[in-house]
Amino acid sequence: MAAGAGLAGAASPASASVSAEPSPTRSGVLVDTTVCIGCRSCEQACKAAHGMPTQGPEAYEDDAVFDAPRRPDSTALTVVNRLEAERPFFLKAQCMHCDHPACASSCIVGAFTKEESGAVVWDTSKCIGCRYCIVACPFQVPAFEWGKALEPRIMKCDFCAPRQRDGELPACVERCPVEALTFGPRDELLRVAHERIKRSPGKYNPRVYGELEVGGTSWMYLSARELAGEALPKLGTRPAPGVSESIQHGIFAYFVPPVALYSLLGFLMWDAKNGPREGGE
Amino acid sequence: MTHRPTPLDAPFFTKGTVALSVLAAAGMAVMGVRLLFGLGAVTNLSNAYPWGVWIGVDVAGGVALAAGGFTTAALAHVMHKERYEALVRPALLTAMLGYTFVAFGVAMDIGRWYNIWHPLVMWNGRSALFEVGICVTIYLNVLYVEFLPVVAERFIGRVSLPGPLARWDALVDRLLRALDRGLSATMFSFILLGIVLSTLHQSSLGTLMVIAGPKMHPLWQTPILPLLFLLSAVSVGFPMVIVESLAASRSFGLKPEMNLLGELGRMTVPLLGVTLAFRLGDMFVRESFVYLREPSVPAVLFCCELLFGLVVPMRMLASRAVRESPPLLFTAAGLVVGGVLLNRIDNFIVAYTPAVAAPRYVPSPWEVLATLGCAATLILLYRAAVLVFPVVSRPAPGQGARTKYAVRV
Repeated sequence: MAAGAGLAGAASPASASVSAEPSPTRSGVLVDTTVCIGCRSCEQACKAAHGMPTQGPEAYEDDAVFDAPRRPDSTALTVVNRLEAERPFFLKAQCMHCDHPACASSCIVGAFTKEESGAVVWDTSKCIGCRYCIVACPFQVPAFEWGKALEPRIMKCDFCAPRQRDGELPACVERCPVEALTFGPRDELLRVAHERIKRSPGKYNPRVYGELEVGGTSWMYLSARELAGEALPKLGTRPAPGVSESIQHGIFAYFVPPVALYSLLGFLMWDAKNGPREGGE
Repeated sequence: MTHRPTPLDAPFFTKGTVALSVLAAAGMAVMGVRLLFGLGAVTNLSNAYPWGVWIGVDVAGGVALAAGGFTTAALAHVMHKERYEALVRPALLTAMLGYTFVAFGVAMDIGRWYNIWHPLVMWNGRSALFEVGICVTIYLNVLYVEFLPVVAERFIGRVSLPGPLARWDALVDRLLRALDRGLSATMFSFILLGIVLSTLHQSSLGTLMVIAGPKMHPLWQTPILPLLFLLSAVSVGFPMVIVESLAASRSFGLKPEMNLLGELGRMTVPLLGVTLAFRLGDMFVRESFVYLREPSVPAVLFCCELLFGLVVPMRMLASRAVRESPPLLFTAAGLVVGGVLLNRIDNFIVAYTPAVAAPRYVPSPWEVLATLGCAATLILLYRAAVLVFPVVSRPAPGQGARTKYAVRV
């Protein structure tokens, strides 16, 4: 099975497959949760950048919103939650922009693409609304417009791909007043992250969340304590689509197994018909 | 003893079918509301639980329970056991209607039902769902082709179109005869294709949840899920034929084919044994049995699947006394059917936990009503079909049964 996957991968380097590697120059964002003050400016900037209805500034000063945890949904592509600890801290949630996105692998019509920039984007014209991407996503990010009878969309953070193409920063990064969000090439961000950890070992948990999770993500987190298993899902280091794609490639290695099965059944059929007759007819 | 399928002579409407019609109408009304106001209006689905009973029962359960079509075809046509010919058409009809409703269920569940054709032209070979979608689509068409000879048989020599269309009677008759001859010569290739497509999508249906990774309960999440799905589909094929055949015999007052059905029950025993062996083996290799130590809903359901869906029916079907008694045979086969249905519900609904904690999904009454309505409609269409088309066999002395389709060299 592994050999089949390898072959299939090698045969079509252009089409994204198990072995497809993300662009080496892809960007990312480093979220330093020790810096975030929970002002939710990023939420407001995100909505404005995506043409979604926003609330007035007073709504963003109300701390009551932190009482219950929230998730990104079709009306807010990013949300900031307050996590209670000895010292409460704030955690921004949005699409992690995986290096090996499960949504792109799972999508029945291939509507998701991991772009050169690192952004995982969604093509609305292809979508059939099956929601398999939501089943597949390890971070529970894609959201569906449940109330729409026609053209319901899958909604998720697009890493401001259109803004990035115009040379602009993602809206949330640009707006953040305390520079809790750092945008840059992913390699560079990792170097910065580990340097910060080395410089103040008491301040940071020594692990960067997103460096290794599901094969690496474009968005990564620095925090005072371990995030995996509490604030964010505890995940392995293998790309999320790996096992599923290996099975697929094993079953369909150049269509050999299905054709072989067809031929075998054909032979059995011919043999049973022309072989010794069944007794007692 | 030989058989010949004939349209059954019975009234369509009985107390039972009237009740089913009400249920069917209610279910279709729910679908109407869904079409007008969106999925959120009738379902309890959410971003945390994106798939519910329509996928778990109507689609995954439906595909598994329609497996009688390809297992019976393999037995009667590929292995050339002519005695079972009488069971092929009812199983084929069930599969055809079953897959039609799987397609209907999918169309109702996806947000943009009018884009259902997209996978045919927008391919993603990495997606297990794409594989399932393509195979089910082709297989559904193969099933229609396999059923065409039954339609031809019903109307050849009996074409009488209404009113002014009557002048085309002779032409339609000739076309039907030509179609029947053409299909006779090529049907073996469709039968083989149907079996290959079935093994492919029955297994890929298991691959679907593999990508959910740690969101799936470890009792069910395993890389051999596709194999387990295939094995359970193969083992539920004959029990499903038994259940339907006994139910239909009772409903139409026919004498059940206990000889053949008992034989199917006997053949089911090793199939259940292999499925059980792989499920237990998988549990021990992955050491997932640790999750059975504390009583939880998943642990209890998992044990129910193994005990009542595999062990008990296997023991029952191994006994001659059970295989010769219609109620006991029905019970044993019904347990297998229930076990596979429970397994699909477990895999797609019970085992799934979102990455970020959320209130548990419980289907809304409307979702359940729609599912029951679809099942009721399916049963009504089955009854209508056996009244119109020659599907069910009744003893007819002097008529030799023979295998109609064989590989033509």
